[in-house]
Amino acid sequence: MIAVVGLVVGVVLGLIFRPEVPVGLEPYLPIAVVAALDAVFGALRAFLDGIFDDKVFVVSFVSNVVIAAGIVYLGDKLGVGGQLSTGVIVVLGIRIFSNVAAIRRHIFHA
Amino acid sequence: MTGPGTPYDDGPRHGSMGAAPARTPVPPAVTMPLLNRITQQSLDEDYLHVAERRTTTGEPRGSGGRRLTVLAVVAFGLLVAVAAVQTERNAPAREESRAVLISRIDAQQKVVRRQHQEIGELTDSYTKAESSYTDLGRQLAQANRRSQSLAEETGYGAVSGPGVQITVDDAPDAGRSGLVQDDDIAGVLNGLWQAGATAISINGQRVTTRSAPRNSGTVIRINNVSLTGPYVISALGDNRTMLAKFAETSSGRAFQLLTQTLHMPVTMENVDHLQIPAAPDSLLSLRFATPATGQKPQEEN
Repeated sequence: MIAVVGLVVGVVLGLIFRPEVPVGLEPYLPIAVVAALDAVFGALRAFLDGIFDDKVFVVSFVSNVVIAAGIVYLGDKLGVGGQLSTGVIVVLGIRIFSNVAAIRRHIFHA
Repeated sequence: MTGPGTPYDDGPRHGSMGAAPARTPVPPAVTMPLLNRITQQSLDEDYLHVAERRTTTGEPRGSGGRRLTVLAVVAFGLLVAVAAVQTERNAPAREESRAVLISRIDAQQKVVRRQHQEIGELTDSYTKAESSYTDLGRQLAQANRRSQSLAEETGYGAVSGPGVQITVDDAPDAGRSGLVQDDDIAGVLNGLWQAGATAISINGQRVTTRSAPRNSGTVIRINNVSLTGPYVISALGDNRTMLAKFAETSSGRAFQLLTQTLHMPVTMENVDHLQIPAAPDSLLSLRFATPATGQKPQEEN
């Protein structure tokens, strides 16, 4: 419940302040969002499995975002940024889908 | 689903290495296809490890991280909102550049269309020009042929072919009256023209419309060149009939009478191959009047 409130607060803060993203960080923002989404769905599934742990969530959230952005940054420096971000999004997308499937099984018992 | 009993997870961790056989089986994580692995381990294994440790050690679920969790969730919401805002902010620029590109494409397509049209027009005019060029070439060839035949007729070009040769000389002992006169030569020329000669020369001097034999002392001048006897008159034409026809003309008869009376030595023979040169250059520049263009002729004092 408090997590939902936090989410709403975050979204509202973002919409109110509309912070300007530095041009250098702009390409990494979408990939960071996808990585964070993966961490959040993983946490939701762990919560429903009854094995949620705050520390694990925070660590996986931060490391997911940092590593995803780092991989894309490295790819940009090597000239394969587009391909690497595609790879990252594919892997994260598969994880998100399977986590969502597990969550669905929990909610609908199916 | 990855369970706690997966060999990959807890095999090495629980110190079962010593009891392992000499050849440890390859962990399934190595042989498993990559996509399967991603799907199976979609849940962070750390959740499982922590839960497992908690059940084994019986330590209570710590609540100290709750604030951090909320912070992370707030950060997530912020991230999503910022990304959405940024994308929305960039949309007009992207749309604008797209519109600019489209308009540029349109303009270029218009240019290409116009150039295609130009190509068509140019091809048409090229075809027309080419056909008129071939026409002109044909006309040129015709004109060249005509110029050639005219040159042969008028003395502008050398000619050769069958013909007759009449040689006449001064009478050896008739004194001044026995000399060949310009009138005699002119008579022979007229007779030969009448007999169908196409080109005539006297001692290698081409006879043209502007050539007239003239007496000059004891010699005859033609084309501004002095000739002395014997006078060899070569005439191109049909040599089967020309001498006979010549003899029938009044000039021919007069010539025959003259030579017989004055005992001029005359030979007439058919020649199968005669060379007749072109007239000298001084004769070839024609003088002719040109109409005054536009202006009234001025009165001269």
